[in-house]
Amino acid sequence: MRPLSRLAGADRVLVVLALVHLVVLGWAFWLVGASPLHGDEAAYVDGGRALSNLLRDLGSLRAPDVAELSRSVVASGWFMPGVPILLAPFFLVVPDGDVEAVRAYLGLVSTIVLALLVWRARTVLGPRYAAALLVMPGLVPMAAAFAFAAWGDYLGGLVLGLLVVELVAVSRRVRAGAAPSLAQGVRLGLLAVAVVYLRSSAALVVVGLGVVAVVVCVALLRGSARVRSLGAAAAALGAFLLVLAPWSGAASAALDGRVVTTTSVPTVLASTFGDQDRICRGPCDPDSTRWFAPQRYARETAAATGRSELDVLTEMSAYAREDVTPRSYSRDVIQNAWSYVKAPDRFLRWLEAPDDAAGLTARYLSRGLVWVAFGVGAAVLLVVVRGARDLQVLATLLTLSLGALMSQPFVHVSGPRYWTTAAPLLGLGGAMLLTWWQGRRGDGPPGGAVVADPVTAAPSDPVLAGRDAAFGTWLTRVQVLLAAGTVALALGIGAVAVLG
Amino acid sequence: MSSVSGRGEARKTGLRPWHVLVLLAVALVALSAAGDAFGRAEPTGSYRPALPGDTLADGCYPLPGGAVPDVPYVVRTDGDVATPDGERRHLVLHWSLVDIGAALDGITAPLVDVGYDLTEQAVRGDTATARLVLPGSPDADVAVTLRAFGDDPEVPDPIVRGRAELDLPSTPRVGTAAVCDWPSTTKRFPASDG
Repeated sequence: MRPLSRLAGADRVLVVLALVHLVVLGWAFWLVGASPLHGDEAAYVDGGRALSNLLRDLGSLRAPDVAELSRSVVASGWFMPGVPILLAPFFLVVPDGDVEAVRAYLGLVSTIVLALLVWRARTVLGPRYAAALLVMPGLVPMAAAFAFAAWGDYLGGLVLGLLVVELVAVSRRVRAGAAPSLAQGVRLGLLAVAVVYLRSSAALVVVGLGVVAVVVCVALLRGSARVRSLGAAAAALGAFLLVLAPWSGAASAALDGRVVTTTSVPTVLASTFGDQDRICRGPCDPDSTRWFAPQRYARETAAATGRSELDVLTEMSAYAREDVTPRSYSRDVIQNAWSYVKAPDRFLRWLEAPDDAAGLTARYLSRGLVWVAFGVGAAVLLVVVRGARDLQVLATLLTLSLGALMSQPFVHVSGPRYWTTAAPLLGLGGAMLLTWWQGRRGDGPPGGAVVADPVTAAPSDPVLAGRDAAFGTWLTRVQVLLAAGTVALALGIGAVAVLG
Repeated sequence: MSSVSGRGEARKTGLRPWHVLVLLAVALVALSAAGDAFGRAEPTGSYRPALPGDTLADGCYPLPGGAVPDVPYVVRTDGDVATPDGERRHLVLHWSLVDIGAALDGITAPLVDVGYDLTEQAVRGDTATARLVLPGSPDADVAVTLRAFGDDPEVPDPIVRGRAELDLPSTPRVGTAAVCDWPSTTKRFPASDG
């Protein structure tokens, strides 16, 4: 009787939090629902329009408008079309849908994905983790506003959360001596490529997680299970590449060069770390932005020479970065990291949320909650979680993912939007740390903790149990290494920035 | 195993995730087939703006006699500047693909073709200069100065090779094409002439 009532209680909390999340969504929509598209949102929405025309043409058995797709979906190859793909069905039905309708539709999609993540977290990790997600990002008005925005950062973060949860499920199976199924492999591959489509800079995270998953399978499994796990890995990779290929192919063809995910890397590096006055082999045209002006120069040069604009961009970037020193680089990284964290609510203003009491409350509430979450993130990176193996697995996955997401300031000017990709991981991290803390204090596994699941305990088979114990030792080593690496990197960057 | 319990729940309702996916796919195909009935979306293409024109080749602000450099180039800045000799045109190009000597020839030869005399020409390492005069028009002289971008170990075989500055007689706008209205074409930006 007791577990049942406990579960019902936990689910009651989930229902209340979900309702509060809906209120926060309504609040956010009231603040930004009718705001004009801001910056790159225009590009994503444009891509959605063009893709809807592609569907129309295919549905009517006409040749697609390749020029339109090239111009509005590939454009300059900066943004992968995750959000445009999601928007295509909307524009198929409402070709001239106004901004409010676009935002409402995106909010619906985001909310469905969040619900899916909460449901999977509840099933795999327990109600506590589901509740944590409904707090972070669920309670943050800024995150709710991003649910109505056309950037892929927030949605990409939700799918990344799904990927991490699925990996925990797979780890249990592997620890019990069974290979992941082909279907699981395909599912992981599809989630991974969805993350990349929504947020191409998260490619590092998903590739890293994929490599780790394969290494763990090979290390823990023996015989035919090991071979089958490689089959699942091949299925994951196959699904990933199959979905990635249309984009890579289309972008490469449109831009006459090799594009895998995005073309923006050279310009981003040049603009972030290089000399602005050298990017166009001198200053760029003053009538355009730091992103469009170099692009124009590259296209003009490509047109004059018959070479690929991508090659021109690579060359421009190298030239602009000639004078980058360890000191200038370190200072830029610190500057980027500061931009990443300093004003997580900034987009409420950029999305023209009113400056009245409701707008200001949303801003300060968002800032407070996200700053607390940043503290949680730092703790996840630094704390070495021992104890229940399942918790160790989750902790290591979260540390790896957050660490890889934090590569952003090392390669890109950062802004107050990037935290949204990390937000679901920060939510899961909070629940993980709480569970770990209670375990340390000997409070026992509380309701909803991962350890309540019988599979999470050590396997009963002595051989498997031995391997599982060794796995735990390795997880601890990896976590110590990651924590030490984080500290060393932070100190190193700081030292070079000051002394270099 | 979580996935097992997940599947168990789904089995109870008879609805599995892939059923939902198949339904969505079928709905999408049906909507696509009916897509024309709703009209057509109109992308703006704003993230891939039209390529600017070429102020020299399009004749917006042409070189004397309509000469066009015979070397891959882009115009970087253009505009009139006050000099002791009155208003002069200061035009900056970047040239690509060829070495400095060939670039100098590529810029001077078309001017010779329209009647200029090449009176001076010198290539010294990374710098090259030339002077051209138009017989009978003392104000029409042209001075050309080229500087190659230095060797960069990161870019062993660069596309863009150097910067050319041309000192020219002032030219009014000639071309009437729409691209000539864009500063991105003429490279005549307010308060900036390179």
